[in-house]
Order: sequence, then C-alpha cells, then structure tokens
Amino acid sequence: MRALSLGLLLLLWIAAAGLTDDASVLPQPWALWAPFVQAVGSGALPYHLGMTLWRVVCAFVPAMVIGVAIGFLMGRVAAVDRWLDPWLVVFLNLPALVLIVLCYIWIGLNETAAITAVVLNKIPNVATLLREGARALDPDLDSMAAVYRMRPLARLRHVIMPQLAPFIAAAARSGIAVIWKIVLVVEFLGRSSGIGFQIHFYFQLFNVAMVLVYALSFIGVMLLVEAFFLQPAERRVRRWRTA
Amino acid sequence: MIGLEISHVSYSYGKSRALDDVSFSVRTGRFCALLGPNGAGKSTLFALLTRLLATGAGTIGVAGFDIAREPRAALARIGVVFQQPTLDLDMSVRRNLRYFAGLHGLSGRQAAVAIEAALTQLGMAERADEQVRALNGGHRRRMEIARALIHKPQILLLDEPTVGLDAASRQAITDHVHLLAESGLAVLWATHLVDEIRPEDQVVVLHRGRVLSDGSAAELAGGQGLAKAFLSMTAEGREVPA
Amino acid sequence: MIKVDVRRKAFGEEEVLRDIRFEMEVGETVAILGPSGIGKSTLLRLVAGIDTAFDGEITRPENIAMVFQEPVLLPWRSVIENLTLVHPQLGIQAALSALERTGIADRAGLFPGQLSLGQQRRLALARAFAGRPELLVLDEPYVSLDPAMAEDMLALTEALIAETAPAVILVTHSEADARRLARRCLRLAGKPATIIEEFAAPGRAS
Repeated sequence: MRALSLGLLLLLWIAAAGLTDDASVLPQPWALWAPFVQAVGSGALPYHLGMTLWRVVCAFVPAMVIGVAIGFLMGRVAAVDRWLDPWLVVFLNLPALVLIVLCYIWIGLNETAAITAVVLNKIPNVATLLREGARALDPDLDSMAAVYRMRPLARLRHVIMPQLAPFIAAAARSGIAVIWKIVLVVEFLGRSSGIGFQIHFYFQLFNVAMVLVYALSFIGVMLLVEAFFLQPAERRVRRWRTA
Repeated sequence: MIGLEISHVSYSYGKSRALDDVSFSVRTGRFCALLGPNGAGKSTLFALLTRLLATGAGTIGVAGFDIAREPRAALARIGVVFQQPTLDLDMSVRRNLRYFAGLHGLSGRQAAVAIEAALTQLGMAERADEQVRALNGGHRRRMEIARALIHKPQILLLDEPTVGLDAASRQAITDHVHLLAESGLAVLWATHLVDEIRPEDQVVVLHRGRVLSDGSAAELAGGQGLAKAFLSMTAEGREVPA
Repeated sequence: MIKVDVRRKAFGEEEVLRDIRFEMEVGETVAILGPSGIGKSTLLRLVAGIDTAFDGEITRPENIAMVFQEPVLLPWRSVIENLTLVHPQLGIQAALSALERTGIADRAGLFPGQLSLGQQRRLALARAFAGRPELLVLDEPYVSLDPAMAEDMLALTEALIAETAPAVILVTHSEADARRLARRCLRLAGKPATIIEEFAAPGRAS
C-alpha cells in the first residue's frame, strides 16, 4: 500500500518531467543518479548531511526536554497554565522565520543562534501536546500512587511516563518533521554548511538536479530514522496494549 | 554449613498466635520435612520465610543473612515452590521460565543457561518447548521446582508440593527433591504425609504453632513407625488429619 | 490508633463534610454508611491521605492500603510488577506468595489487560495486603461486581483481613456487607454531611 502510493508519486513526477521537457526545471528521476554519485564521491553530501543531522539532534533534545517539562507542568498546575498559556499562544502563532531572523540579529550569525531559533520554534508544539497528555492522566492511578506512597521517581517512571508515552511519541514524530524543516531554513539564511546551505547555493546556480539530490537524500535519511528508531521505540512502549 | 536457621520466631494475627517460639535449622545438603496438620502454622512460617509477613519476634537466617536486616541477600538465596501453580498454562515452559529469569535479572545467554541447568536437574530438558497446559500434574510440579531453582538458590522451600498428585508422580518428585538436597541444597519440605519422608531425613513436627520435635525420622519413629508417632504426638485434643 | 477529626471539608463554595470525629483501634473494622453522593468517598480520601485540603486533623499510620471501586492497576506493567513496583521492599518471592494467596500466581508474567475481571480484582487485593497495611481503606470494592463474584471477593477480603489484622475503614451501600465485615457502623447524612448515628454491628465474632 505504502509502496504503491509512493510509486504513484514517482509516476506523477515522471509525467510532469515529461511534460515540461526541460531538465533544468524538472529533471527525470533517473537523471539525478549521476549528480548524486558525484556529490557522495566528493564528500560534500555526507558532510552537509552530517552537519544538518547534528543540528537536528542538538535542537531536538532540548526542545523535547524543555517542552515536555513545561507542557507537563501546565497540564498539572492550573496556576502555571494560566500564566504560560498566553505566551504559548503568542509563540505558536509566531512564524518560524521571525524567530530565526530575530535570533540571528540578537545572538549573531552563529551556531548558538541557529539552535536556539529551532528550539524556540519547537517548544510550543511539544508543550501543547504534553499539556493535553498531562490533563488526560488517570486520577485513579494518581490516588493509588499516593495511597501506597510510591516514591516520586517510581511514580514518574511507572505511573506517569507510560501514560504520557503516546503524547511524547506524537510530539517526537511531529517534532522531527518540523525541526528539520526549520533547520533547513536556518541554514538557508545564515550558515555555511548543511543541506539548507547547499540548497541555497544550488538555488543561486539554478541547479534543480542538485537541489533535488540534497532534499531527497535528507528525506531518505529521515525515513530511515523513522523506521529504525521511532517506530521500534513506539512499538516497545505499546507492547502492553497488544499483548 | 547451616542453610536455614530459624530461632525463637513467634507471630500473631491479632490475638491468635500462629507461631509460638519456633526454632530449628536446616543444614545444606539436608532434606528437612516440616510435618504438621493443616493449620499448624506452616503457611505462616512460609509467609515469614518469603517475607510476605515481617518477622514479629525472633530471627530467620538464610545462608548466614538475617532476613530482616538483609532481605535482598537472604531472599536471593531462597527458591520457593508454592502450593498453587505459578506457571502460565498457555505459555511454553521455556517462556515461563525465561520470564522468571528476567525477574531475577538474568537475560539472554545467562538466562538460557540457567533454564537449561534447572530443567536438566529435574530431568525435564526435553519438555522445555511444550505448553504447560499439555503437561500432566507431576511434570507441572517439576517445572515449578525448576522455576524455583532458576536463580540458583541455596535453600529450597516447598509448600505441600505433592498435593493432588498420583502415587507414581509423588514418588518421582520426592526422589528428585532428595537428589537436590544431596547435591547441596538445604530443603524444607512442608507436608502432612509421612510416606514422603525417608528414615535419614530431618523431621520437624509443627503443631499449633509450636515445634513438638526436631530430629531424624528414624529417631522420631522409634520402634512404632513414623505415622503412628506423628499421630500420637498431634492427636490430643484434635481430630486426626487426613 | 487512628484519629479522625474533620471539622470542615468544602469543594469551592460547596461544603461537603462537617464535624466528623471518630477513632479506630488497629484490628478494628468500621463501616461508613449513607446514601450515594453524600461524601463517603470524599471522607475516605481524607482518611487515606490522598486529599489533604480540609480543616481538621487526621492521625493515621504510615502504612496504608486502599482498594478502589475499580482495580486501578498499571496496565503497562506485568502482574507481578504491579506488586513489586508499588511495594519496592517486596521481593519476587514475597510478591509470588501474595499472588498465590489470592490465587493468581500463574498469571504473574501477564499484563493486567490479559486477566479476567475477577483476576484483576484479586490482583488489587494482593496489592493491598502485600504491603502489610496498618490501615486498609475499602471504597465500595464490590459495587460493580455480580453477586457471585462479589461474594467470592468478600470472602477473600475477610480472610486476608483476619490474617493481616489491619484497621479497616469501609464504605459500602450494602448494609449486609457492612454488618458482615464491620464491628461498628457510622451513618452519614445531611448537607454538609455529618455522623447522625453510630451503632455496633453484630458482624463476625471478634
């Protein structure tokens, strides 16, 4: 099913490329192979891919940790929710581009600004999802943990986290998807490495083939991350449902 | 070497006294039968030995560890075979045992080796992949014993392990556990059936929460046979147990 | 010894409980009776220490267990882990003993969702008694069961109470259950609710 739908997309591409009949606007899929091999061979593609992945990880981890903590607190403590909710609305509706530009202006054109911009963009999404999760926590289990005087750490690990796991998984999935797009924009605007920078570079040369090579390689990597990291992790935490 | 040492243990449920100043010990390599009618306090003693109940008065030593002060070390050296089944009928023997190995912190190869060893000790290696449901009562009991041996305990407790078994299975299990004792385990075997005891075994007679006698079966029997001696000891004021 | 002195408990403007005072000895079972919605469960939550927002004072032992209307298990942890995680001082052997006592030792490795309803109840009882509570709080534990299963659970609960001898506070709408388990009954009525009657139940011989 999945393969079929992806195949259809490919067919659409081939048809569109056939119609435009101009390799500098939309090359045929097979025309990308040679530039791909060349980019890998020269070491440029692995280097820039690595840089982008590194930025994604650097932004993903703090965004998740801070977002989960804020969202959890907002869901559990009404006062915190009242105070932070307006902020959340503001940040959720702030275009990513605005945050990126402001970070570059205020912090400078450096790595810190790039990561900070991505993290600030992502935290509100994570927090919103986790707030829902924290609100959905089962009050009966809370009472149970309280009566039996479960230790805070055990409570977190065995009572709260399993209930939040689906929300954290959802936040992580949408997080990865959003973060890498924002990272590309950040690189596009102000870094001298990474997929975004390369796309910017080839965009200026109007080399559509290279733009596509870089974009598709990165999509490929993200699909692998999804299949070999996110999905198994999700299966693991869902094991008890299917047993 | 002393495996299990129980000294001056008392326990009460509210006002009723279930154990009253109970003392005895089981050396490693010995088979000790804890003989007593139903309601003598065997279950309470087992609950104390597994620490389901906390010792009220007295001390319990397991391979030199005080169960109240070093419960983890003590309990790691005990294997228990309960009266009721602990194996899931719908899983294979191996899966059941692997689960318990996991609870004891064994995994992967370590667990596989421990399971193999426990099954071999009971002559059950070839049945590892059968569903528990498919086994007969005697084999299930042996599996229960294998489960209790997985973490290589030094003391094996069995709570009336032959209840509901036919004569042949009882004989087989009794033989196996005697072999386990000879291989260096301290075995405490609770029962009210005297024919499971051999003359050289240690016998502790528990009645109404008190130890009435502690010695070898041969000594206890004297000339009159173990069954008679046991009955005369526990008969007064109480109907004879089945 | 348990001393309950609730001067006032309110949810916002709505006053639920007022001037509820009673004492219990360890080993004693007290039943709280009254129509539904009167605040019995609220009172239990105060006694158990789940809810601490009230005027008054409650003296209670450290070691408390509670059986709720539903089993309230951790569905993502195995049956035996539902005991060992809640009672970390309990070893595997003791946890197995507790499961054996309630007749579900063979389910130790399953997830609670794989148990029948009756077995889930048994697990909840095993969890309550495995910690050797000094105070046991029962909040209509049989309310959603059919009569045969309720009778099973009641008998098992009775036996476990006899073995562990905790102080028991029990909420029920069944006067028959109350009389069977408890020696003393307190009846709540009014708005805000208070104790309007206290009577000795014939119950079990003490």
